[in-house]
Amino acid sequence: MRLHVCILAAVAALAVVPTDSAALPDGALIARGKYLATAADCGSCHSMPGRLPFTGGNAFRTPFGTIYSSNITADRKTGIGAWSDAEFLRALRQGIGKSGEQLYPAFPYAEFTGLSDRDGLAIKAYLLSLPAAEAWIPQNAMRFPFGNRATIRAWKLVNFRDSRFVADPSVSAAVNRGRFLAGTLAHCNECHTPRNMTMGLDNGHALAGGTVDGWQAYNITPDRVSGIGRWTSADIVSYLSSGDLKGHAEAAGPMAEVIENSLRFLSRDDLEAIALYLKSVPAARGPEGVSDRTSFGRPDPDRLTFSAAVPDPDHPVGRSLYAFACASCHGLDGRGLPGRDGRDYPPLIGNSITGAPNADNLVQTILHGAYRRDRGGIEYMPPFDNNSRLSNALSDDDVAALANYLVRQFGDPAAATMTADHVARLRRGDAASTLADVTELALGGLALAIGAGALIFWRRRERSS
Amino acid sequence: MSEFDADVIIVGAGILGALAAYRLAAKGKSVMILEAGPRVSRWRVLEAFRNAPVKGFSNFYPEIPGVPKSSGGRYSDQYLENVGPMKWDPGYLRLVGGTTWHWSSAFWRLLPNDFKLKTLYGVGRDWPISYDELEPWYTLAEQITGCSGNAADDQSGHAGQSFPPRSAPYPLPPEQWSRYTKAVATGFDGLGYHFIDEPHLRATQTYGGRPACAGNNNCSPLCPIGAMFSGDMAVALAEEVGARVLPQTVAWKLELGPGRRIAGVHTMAHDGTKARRTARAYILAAHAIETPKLLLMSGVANSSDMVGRNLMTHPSLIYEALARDEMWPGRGPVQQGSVNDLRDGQHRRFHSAIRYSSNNRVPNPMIAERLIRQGIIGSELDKRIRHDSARYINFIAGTESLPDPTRRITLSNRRDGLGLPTPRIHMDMDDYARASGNRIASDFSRIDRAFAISEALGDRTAWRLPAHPMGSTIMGEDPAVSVVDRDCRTHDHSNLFITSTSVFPSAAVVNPTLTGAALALRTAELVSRET
Repeated sequence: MRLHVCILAAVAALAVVPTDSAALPDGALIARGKYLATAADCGSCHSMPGRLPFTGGNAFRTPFGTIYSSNITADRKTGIGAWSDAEFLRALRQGIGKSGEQLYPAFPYAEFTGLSDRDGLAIKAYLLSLPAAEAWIPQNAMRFPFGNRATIRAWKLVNFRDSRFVADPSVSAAVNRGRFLAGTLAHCNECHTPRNMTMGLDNGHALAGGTVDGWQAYNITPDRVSGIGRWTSADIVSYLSSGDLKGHAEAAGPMAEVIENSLRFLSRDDLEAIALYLKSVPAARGPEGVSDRTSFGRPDPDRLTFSAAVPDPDHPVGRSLYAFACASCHGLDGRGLPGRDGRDYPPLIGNSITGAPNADNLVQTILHGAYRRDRGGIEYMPPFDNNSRLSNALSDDDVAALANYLVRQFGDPAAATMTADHVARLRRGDAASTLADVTELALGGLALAIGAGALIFWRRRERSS
Repeated sequence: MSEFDADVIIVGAGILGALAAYRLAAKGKSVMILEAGPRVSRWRVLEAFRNAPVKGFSNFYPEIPGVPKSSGGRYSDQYLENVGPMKWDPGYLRLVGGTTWHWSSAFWRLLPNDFKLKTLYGVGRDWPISYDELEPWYTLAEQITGCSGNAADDQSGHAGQSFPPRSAPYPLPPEQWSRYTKAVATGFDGLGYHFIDEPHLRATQTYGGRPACAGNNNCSPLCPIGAMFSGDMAVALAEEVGARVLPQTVAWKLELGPGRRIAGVHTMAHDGTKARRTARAYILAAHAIETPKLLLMSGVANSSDMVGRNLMTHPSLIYEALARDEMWPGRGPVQQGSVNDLRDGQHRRFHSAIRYSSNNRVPNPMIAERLIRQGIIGSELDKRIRHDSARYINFIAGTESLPDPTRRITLSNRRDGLGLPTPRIHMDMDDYARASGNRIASDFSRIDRAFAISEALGDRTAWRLPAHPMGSTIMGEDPAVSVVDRDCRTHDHSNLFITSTSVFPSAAVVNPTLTGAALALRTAELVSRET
């Protein structure tokens, strides 16, 4: 058994973890660090348009306030050029900054904590090999009381465990590799696992779905109704490598970024390992939904009467909007259209977003469109938000009506409950959190109580003196 | 608070006005664009098109009593008064985005020789500026809009090196040619001509927020998906950098102030409510009929008596026929490619240049109508529609007008819904263009043989006047015979400019929009330095 474990570990180590970084020439160490940093997708958070790569400055609007990603280039003043190896690993794995300050868990050190010394330092070597760029980032703008980093200590008590990745001997090397890639490096659970009351990960429902920036990060457990149990491993690999599962799924929103910046660069073996791992996690059934997200939709039975001359009296606007704002690409029958270079306009029948139990991602896609760069070029759907350049802007009422038509026709009709108010909220990007509100209220109340107590105490002293 | 409503007021939110606004606003100027017509949503326009029983060119765009179009509706059809030998619909719209809501987006540069017709060929007028001076602005206009084309082509039609000279390649690669276009190209090449790519503004890959063309074949009158650049997109660009658009605001009078400068522009809303707006400088961009109409209503900028005169277009003969073999027109975009061999050369001493441009439309409605009129019905009709439509060939032989002061727009005695005078048009074509007719007819016969035509359709000797109005506020060095100078500044008023195809001193044989865009950007640059 021990020998078996050793062999497994050795195989896993060869595939993912270098045996001894001291034995690797610099070039190989940096190459390894680059691959790890790509899998960990440092760029999606630490790079942004209009700034040099990895100089941070990306704003993350959380319920606790707005946090800006840091400059992780080799600049000594504004980046990590003056950081020691120990300081870098401490940040990566324990969420503690150079000066010993607590780091906000918007940085996923709760997952990166799994990294070995060698892997962490390979990433550091890669980052330091990039052009150093002096660039300051804006100050965080936190809601009271979360500006005080002591609150992070409290969060860590409940939600963080400092622990390295250890292979599980009861599963195959490939599944271990998949767990390392998905769990430690690509930190899928940061988006795809629901949050608990303290905004930590609810690991009892791992990968059962979460929200990020107003988008749903869907349930990716193997549940055949709520998750992706009906997807084959090949389906998962296709989606992760290109953002596209032909006929069913097109990555948009934050996931499109992940595919574009990170996952499409992973090796086929690694993507297959992730697929195997996803197939191995416990299936989690969600409260909503009656069938797999890609199992819905049929062509409009009256598509020959799509012209407004014979409108659907019950739902006139949504249906007209589909005919005239969408169908020229998605087909009057919802089957999509062939495009150039094999880049077809996606069908809405069997579409994983129209078929979802709630229509938030559908609304987001209508508002923001989709933009995703891959090997062959660009996958693009124009936005229908107020910033449309193509005279496509749709009002909140129109978007709600359109979303409800799409869900009734190409999704689960029970999910056709979108309202104009909710569209407005999604448009604004409101980040809600009960915890943030409750904490603020509670601490505000506490401050009042302390203030009142102090006043009473003072007055008593005055009277007595 | 500033004494003016804006640094610059632009009349007309079409593609040229919006590009000028974009340049000015990007340079930090406050820009107000007055647009007579409304804003529209693309999906609403498509809905109106699909529901229109007659698929016209303009009839499904908004029809407003106070803001008629040049045609296409019960107010618009009464709008223009044509009093000349040839009736002409210059085919323009009045709404935010302007006439390029419905065009095929052909985007050609003029040739260096097009600027020097008088000097080189002894006809027409020279431009006071040269191709070289305009070249950087051509490049900028192509980049802002996202032009697709083949930079290797000799666009002068002589099958030589890349021409005219370019400082940058086209930002988008050329379209793949459809089967029909390839067949047409082969036919023309077999006659010793050189069929080349036509540069245009359909996205061949994602650009500037536009999706790539999906082949709806509906460019004119409307691109359903916004793959083809239209004026509303230029307006969006201008608004993104701070320009303000006031739709449903009809400018009806320019007010003269001290120093013969324009002191204000008077406007009317659709309900007749009046307002007056002021700026340091004013740019007219209301296309080549409404711009001189505004000047004539105001009584300004016309010491030359040239305002409204020298109206030009590209008189054309249409070739339509049924080939022996299947051609499959109507798939892909509506225009691809052109024969430019006769675009320039010594023949321009004696007759106009000629350009053959391929037309790739769906002919089924016209074919069906024709067969029904021949009494063919039932399954035979079905068979014949398929058979004939698949063999339909269509292209346009375009020629160039010369500026002639008798071809003009003036004010008629009719009144539109706001009580403003409507345009009276006196239009004709000159012998210079007609003299190309023989060459065209001979080429048409050669094409007949090249495609083994079974049947010629339509009247290939009937001259048509397309929707390319030019010349009506002509550019020139001499204020006695021109309205604007080399910078598109009116000779009479130092703060009044015109960015429109109305300034062209020559028509050439290519679509005028790109040259208009280059001039608009160049003039905007100048105005930004003066305001």
